This record gives sequence, structure tokens and C-alpha cells, in this order.
Amino acid sequence: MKSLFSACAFLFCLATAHGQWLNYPTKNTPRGKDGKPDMSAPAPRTKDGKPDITGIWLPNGLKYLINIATDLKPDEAPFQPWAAALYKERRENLGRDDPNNLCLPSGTPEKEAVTSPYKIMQFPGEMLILYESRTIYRQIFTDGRPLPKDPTPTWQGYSIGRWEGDDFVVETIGISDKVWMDTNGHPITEAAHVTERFRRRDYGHMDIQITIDDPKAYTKPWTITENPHLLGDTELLESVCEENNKDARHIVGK
Amino acid sequence: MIAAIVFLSLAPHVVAAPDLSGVWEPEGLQSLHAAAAPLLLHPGAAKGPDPDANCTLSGVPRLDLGPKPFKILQSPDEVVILYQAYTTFRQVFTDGRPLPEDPQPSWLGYSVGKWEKDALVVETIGFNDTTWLDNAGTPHSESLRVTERFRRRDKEHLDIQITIDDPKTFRHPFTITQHARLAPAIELTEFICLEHRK
Repeated sequence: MKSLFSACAFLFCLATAHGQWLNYPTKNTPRGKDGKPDMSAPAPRTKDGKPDITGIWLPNGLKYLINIATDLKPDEAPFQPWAAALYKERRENLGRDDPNNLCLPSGTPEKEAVTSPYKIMQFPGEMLILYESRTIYRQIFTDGRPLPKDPTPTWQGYSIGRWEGDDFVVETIGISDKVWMDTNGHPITEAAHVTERFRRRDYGHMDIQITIDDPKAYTKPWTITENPHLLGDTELLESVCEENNKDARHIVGK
Repeated sequence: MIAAIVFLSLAPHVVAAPDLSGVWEPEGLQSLHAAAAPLLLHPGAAKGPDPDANCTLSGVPRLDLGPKPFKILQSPDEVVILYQAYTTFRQVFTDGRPLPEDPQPSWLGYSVGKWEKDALVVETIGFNDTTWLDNAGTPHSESLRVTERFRRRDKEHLDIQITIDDPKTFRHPFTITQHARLAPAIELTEFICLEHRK
């Protein structure tokens, strides 16, 4: 009976998956003998010889989503005094005021740490990231424009990108100080300059080196590396936080 | 060499898809009411509060109807529409995949597109029945099928012919046309609905 149930559950999963393109073969995928995507095949390249970083990616693990300064010792960012006080307050409040609790967006650089798939697409003049989480997008302009001088602060900031060898380098400014960089509540300010270096190691793996330089909140920059892996033969789902947010009213702090 | 000759001789016969890419601004706020109201099967049904008040995604074709700008990006296998409203997007697959057979109902549905002469024809199904079709509150069921024909009339103008087919809600399908104008001088700005909720 149990195995029958499992089989039914399995079949149901398959049917659902097919219905939503979750099991739809991705074009131009290198495959092993078993037909599955060969994640260790060489990274593909675009016609102009640059690495092709497009595809659906999923962050590996939660550690930076919880604490973006987790690699530092003693596990803390180099805070300016006011930022240390704000961080302490947020920790003591058990993250009650995390914008995510209200379905506000994750900003830069938290967005690349959210353990939800995102899709990178390349178009003339821009790299586009579609996030399954919140069904939101981010544009990274590659048409040679400079960063704006005095951008209106936003959750995602204003991003431009360029190639440096095999690295796609993204510079972002204009990030709103409403953004929390992680669920622990590391603040970021409008003075921040975030640099992301995307490098596709092979077909199935990417390194994103993220440097946070925010002299208003921190005494020195630091760098983390996300290691997302490729999700083959699938597509993004729709995710609407406001549809069923049952958390907000239950979240209490001190 | 032979390959090059074959390629060159074939090249003129390859019909390029029209280029719809760019930032477009709807010319005014459209309503379906005049076309839809006489066709309603249950005209007296209560419509309840606007689902948009919760900042859930407003749905299709309501996102097309304005007034906020949208941006079209094109690749060979997929057209992406970025909407300033909600900073949300739709993926329209043009790689020949069929529409899903029994999709999980969603706010923006599942879209496939094909090029017919100079128009991109987008078919969308798999909607929940929570969204309104327009600001006037025109209802629909999960049987809704929306066909959008995007045609760039000239460099500056995009026409979107929108056909609503929902046999559980309307006596027969109907069509309206939304017009949009190229806005080359602007980029989309971030718009987070919750920050504008009154």
C-alpha cells in the first residue's frame, strides 16, 4: 500500500511537473550517456567568444542568506558604530522588521543568496535576471553607459555590467538603505558600491564573487563567493508572496 | 567554401522576426467594459474588492492595459515582457513548445508565442480566477484564454490586439486593441506595489 502511495505520488509529481514545463528539455544541453545534463562539461560560449552565463541557477545553501559576514572572524562585519548598534537591535528583535516578512523585496546583494531559482538571460545591451522569488526582474545594462551620478535609491539599485576576460563584472550603486543584506539584518546604505563577478566554471557551476563596499556602514569592504549550480530541463515557477502571507501577523520581536 | 555559398544563397530566404524590442508606453488606460459587459453570462455577479489592493500580480491582459510602461526583450526562443508595474515579467516561449495541458492556475498564466507575418501572437492559459481583466472589474474564470497579437505598426507604434475567450464567463470571444508608443528616452523604474498601497 505504501509503495502504491509512493508510486501515485511520484506519478502525480511527474504529471504536475510536465504541466508546468518543469520537466521540459533545455536546448543545447550537453548530456551524459544517461541523457541527463552533463554538469561538468565545459562552460558554453556565445558567438563573440565570451562565456555564456545564461541558464537557471540555484544558490548552494543558506549561509550567506542568514549571515552575509559569516566568513569573517569573529563572524561579524567591520561595522561603523551606528551600524553595529542597528544590527544588534535587529538581532535582539529576532528579525521582526525584516522587509521580507512584509513581502517587500530582497535587495542587492541578498537577492543572489535567496535559495530560489533565478534565470540569467542575455540580450543586446543588457543582461537580465528573472527571479522566481517574487516574480521580479533585475536589469544589468551592458551597452557601455556609465553608472548614474545620483540615482533614486531602490531595492535592487542601478547595475551596469562588462566583461573582464572570462568574468562578467557587475557594478551596482543606488541601493536603498531599507535593504537588509541578510535575515540577520546586516544593513546597507545608499553609499554602497557592490561589485559582482560572475564566472561560469563549467556547464553546471558558477562562482559569483560579491564585494560589499559601503564606507558609511562598514570600515572596510569584504568579499563573499556564492556557488550556484545550474538547474537543467526546467523553468521558473510563479511566486507571489502577497498571495498567502501568513507570517507577518505572527512575527514578534522583543 | 561550398558551405559559405550555400549559406549565402539561403540567407535571403530566412525571414527575420520583426523587432518589437524597446520600452513602450501604453497610450492611455484601456477598459474592456464596453465590449465585455453585454456578453457576460452572469451580469449581476458581485465582484468584491479589487484583488490589486493586496499587491498580488494584476494579471493578463490588465497589465497590458496601462498606464505604466513595459519593455520587450527578444531572443530566438523566448520573448520577455518586463512590466514597470510590480517590477514583474512574463516569459513567452517561442521555441515551439506546446501550452501545458493542465497547468497550476497562476496570476500571469503560461504563454507561448509564434510569429505570424509581422505579428507576435501570444496564447496564454492557466490563470487563477482571482484577477480582474481590467480596472473596471471585468471577471473571468480559470477557462480564460487570452490571445495577444503584438504588431509594430511603424517604428514608433505598437498595437496589441487582445482577444478574450472564456466560455464560462462570456457568451462569445471578443477583441479590443491597446496602443502603445515607443519611449526610447526612458528606462523602466522599480515599482514595488506595497510601497504605494494606500
